[in-house]
Amino acid sequence: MNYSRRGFLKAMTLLSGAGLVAPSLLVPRRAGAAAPSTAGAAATDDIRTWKITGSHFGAIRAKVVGDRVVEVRPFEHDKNPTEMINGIIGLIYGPSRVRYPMVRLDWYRKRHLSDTSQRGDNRFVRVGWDEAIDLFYSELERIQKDYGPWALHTGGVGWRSVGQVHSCGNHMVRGVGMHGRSVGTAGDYSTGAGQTILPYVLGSTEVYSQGTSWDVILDESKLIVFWANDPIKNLQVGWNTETHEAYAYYEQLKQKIAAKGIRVICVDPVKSKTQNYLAAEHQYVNPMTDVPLMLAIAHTLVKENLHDKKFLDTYTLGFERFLPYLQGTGEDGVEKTPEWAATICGIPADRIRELARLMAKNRTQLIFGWAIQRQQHGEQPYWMGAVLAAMLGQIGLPGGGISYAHHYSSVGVSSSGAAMPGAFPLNLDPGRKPKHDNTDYKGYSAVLPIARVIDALLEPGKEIDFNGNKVKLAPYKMAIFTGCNQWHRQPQRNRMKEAWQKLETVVAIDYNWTATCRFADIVLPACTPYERNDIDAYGSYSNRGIIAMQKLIDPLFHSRSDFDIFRALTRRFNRDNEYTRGLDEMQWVEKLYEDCRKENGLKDIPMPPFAEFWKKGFVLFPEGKPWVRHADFRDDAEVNALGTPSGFIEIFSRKIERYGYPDCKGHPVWMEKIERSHGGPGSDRHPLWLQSVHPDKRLHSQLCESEPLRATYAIQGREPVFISPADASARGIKHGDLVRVFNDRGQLLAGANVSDNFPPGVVRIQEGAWYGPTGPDMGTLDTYGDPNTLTLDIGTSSLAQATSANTCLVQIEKFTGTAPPVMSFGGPIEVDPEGREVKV
Amino acid sequence: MSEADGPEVGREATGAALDIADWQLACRQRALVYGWLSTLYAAEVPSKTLSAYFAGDAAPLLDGLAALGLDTEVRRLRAALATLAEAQYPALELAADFAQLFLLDNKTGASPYASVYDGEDPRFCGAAEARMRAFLAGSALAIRDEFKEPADHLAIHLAIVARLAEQHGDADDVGAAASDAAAFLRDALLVWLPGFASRCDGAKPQFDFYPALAALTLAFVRQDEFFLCDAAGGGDLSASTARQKRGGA
Repeated sequence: MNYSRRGFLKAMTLLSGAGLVAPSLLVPRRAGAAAPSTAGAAATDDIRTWKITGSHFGAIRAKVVGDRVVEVRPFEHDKNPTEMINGIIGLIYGPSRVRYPMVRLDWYRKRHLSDTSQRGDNRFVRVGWDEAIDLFYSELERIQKDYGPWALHTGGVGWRSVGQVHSCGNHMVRGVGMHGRSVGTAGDYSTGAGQTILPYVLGSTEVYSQGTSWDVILDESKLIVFWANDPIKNLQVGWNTETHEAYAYYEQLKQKIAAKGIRVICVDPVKSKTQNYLAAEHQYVNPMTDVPLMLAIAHTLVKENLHDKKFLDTYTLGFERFLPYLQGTGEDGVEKTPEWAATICGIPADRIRELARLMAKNRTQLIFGWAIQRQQHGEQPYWMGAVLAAMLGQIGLPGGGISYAHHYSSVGVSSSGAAMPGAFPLNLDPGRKPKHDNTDYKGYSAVLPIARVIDALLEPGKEIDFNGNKVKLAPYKMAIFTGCNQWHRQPQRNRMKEAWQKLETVVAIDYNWTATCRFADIVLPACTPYERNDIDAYGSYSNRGIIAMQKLIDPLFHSRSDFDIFRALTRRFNRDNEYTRGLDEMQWVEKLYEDCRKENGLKDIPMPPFAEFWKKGFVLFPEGKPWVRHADFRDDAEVNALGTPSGFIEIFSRKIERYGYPDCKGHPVWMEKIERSHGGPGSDRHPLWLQSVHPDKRLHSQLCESEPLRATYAIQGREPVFISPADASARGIKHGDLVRVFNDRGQLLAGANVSDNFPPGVVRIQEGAWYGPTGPDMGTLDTYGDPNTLTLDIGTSSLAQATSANTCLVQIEKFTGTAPPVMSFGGPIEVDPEGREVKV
Repeated sequence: MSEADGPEVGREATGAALDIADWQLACRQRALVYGWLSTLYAAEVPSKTLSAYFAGDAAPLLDGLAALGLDTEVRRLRAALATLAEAQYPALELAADFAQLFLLDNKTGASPYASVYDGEDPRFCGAAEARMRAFLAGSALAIRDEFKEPADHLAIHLAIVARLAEQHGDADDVGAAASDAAAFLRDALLVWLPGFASRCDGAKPQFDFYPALAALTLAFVRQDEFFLCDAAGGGDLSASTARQKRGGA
């Protein structure tokens, strides 16, 4: 390149082309408008003057300077904040933000006739909001007119961002529901088996119920058994804005363990974060064999006459029908002795007897986690746990009995008793009908068990059992997902890929380019919860207070709130006023607050007027009284009958027996799994059990996109796979190595984290790792480490039809060769018009 | 930047003062080029405009740039346009390329944001974005409401240079103006433009239009910096001697 002044000036004279220049992007700053760089100069170092908002990760204060969030700190009343809040700035200013409404190119050209095998890592074009909403609306019209309600699927929403006005599922269900009906979902991925079986046994879901107060447990319990439970890890997040108050009790528990006041045993194949934190005892058990262990404990209780016969007589039903199975006089003729169990669960028979005696001798609180019910026959360990607790006879006693929720949303912190704010309505207003008032589902069911949504596409019209009913799977043509990453939570990616090709149109609404967005046709950019005004409960069960979710910054790019998105959609059929009830965002925030204030006024719980609350940013309520779960039932089983068919604890369920399911019988039983490590089926080819537990530094797949946070745990930029030193060394794998994890269902790249916490035969990849396949084809390598590339998509049983993600075997090898770059957080791979990857 | 840091180029030494009329013409035309480039990075090329490109409406612009010594880059862009013209839906295809490179993500695309190329702390909305906002505020400028992008977007940088060029045409102190403009090119743009252009290449969009445009942009900015240094140093009508020491020759 040469420069000469003469040449430069001469060339300048030749230039013309003003017609190709658009008006400048710059305009003079309006007189009086504050310069953005100085607008936040008033922000002081006193965080109480900063804006406040809520999140699943806790309430936060944010320093905002010039419409930019520059610092996030925990709310001053949060004594045990989680480091997850360090991911929030990276979430707001994430490189994965969806910035504009986008439409997949081939779909844009051919609409529902597009080549759906191109979906995933595909080509998108930007459209304006009006066009995007027009496309969304015209697809809804087409589906309702051409097919009917069976052809539209509204995806079940999981951990939507907090905020009672903008709760995204409510907006989708109400907005789309005003237009026409759809196929919805039943249950959820977290606790599908547990929430289905426990109403038969204990009369409520238990998984989402308040539990005995920690004050009581710390005073009364002598033995606490954390069964497959890691509360220290999981209490970082809450369904509503989390208070983290439970951690103070775990601190006390730790001291009581040290002082030998309370014994804590963690029954788990893995040494959990909780066990390490508490310095508790570890009871190893082979994966997925908790039921044999529990059966053998029960067997010992009977054999040694340690079971509480009076309790069983007074409060339970059907023990006598369970006993023959236990004693080997039933159908299978196998006595469930400790010796029998030892060969399956890997615990010596004497130790099993010792555990039984310990539990019977002490005031024993059993506390189960949720991962254990996300396996094939996941109903059984929960049911058997309840049977064991019933045999111990301590249900309803202070510090005794069973809990399925103390790791969740600060369950066990007593409730203030205050009412919490309501939400933007989920349903149509009373008496209103959808625009397309069509109830003809053509024989298909209007509801799918949530984990069976892929079956519906691959096995259209199949009739399956579900919780005593028959469900005919609707082969829906269009699906809408909002605020949930379907391509994170649903097992078995490659099966999903195949199913997705059958969908004509997929709409995804999110603030991030999740895999769900990348496998969608219309992608609408929602703003983050930090870009809108809202209100949230502080403490999902403690009802500790109410948090003002003050908008920190304006929505970035062209993102919009869910409220605005669905208001625009309903405007297409002239029902936007009905949709919003004539209120705007702040009017809704105020209404929810004032309604709540009125309700609390009736209980003599005072709250300041809205303006005062909004300025201060929160209301806190005093602590509630200690409480014991099921104490009322124990006090009077007639008056306070359980919600079971009989009103008693059902050790044997006649109702379930009548269903006649081969995989969920009238009482809890041990059933071999389709695949199981430690000598079980399939362990010769794929010897390692893969557990995909809830992550330690994310909320499911949320925050995985936050680069600063990911940098604290990723290995060579990949999701870690935790592996025992023995398994690693047998494979020539060192800590920090890149490894390939695989089975017949898929393969992924991960970074080896060699850890003493893991026994031989057990590996862990935390769920929520973003899916990033090298290409749209089946079986391609996942470049980041999403465990659902490997998991198995079968129902837990005919009863719950829930996810069985933790029934999964894999093999691992050191990865050699050139590793492909991580695609999960990147843009799409380029494909040529035939769908072939264009090699870089 | 000292001469030693620059690319291997030949420069004709002048040292003579720049004629005010030449300076004014150059400023007008530079504003045109920067405005054009800013337009292309700000949004997808509308179908009608793309047809105008195919019809040769950009020829005077491209010819002028070729005459600047950027003939390699111009040839590449013309070839890309010719290939694109063969496509069934050229505007849509180009829009998908635009989306892939500039709208979706910065891992496999080519993020048009300066802070993503920050050697110290590469991230979205990082320090470079804060600097640009401060610069705009200091210049009493704002970004149009409808362009909802961070201030370190390439199109904003280019719009600023276009605006500076327009203003500088009337400058009393040409040397100072040229020196300021050159400093902006060096400090705000040339630090990351090479990285951006190579990302565009590496991302391999379906058509070569944007990678070719990025190469042309980089080449033009470099050439313009030579001119500004020349104007700052030798082209003095009233500038201080200190400024005369700077720049080319």
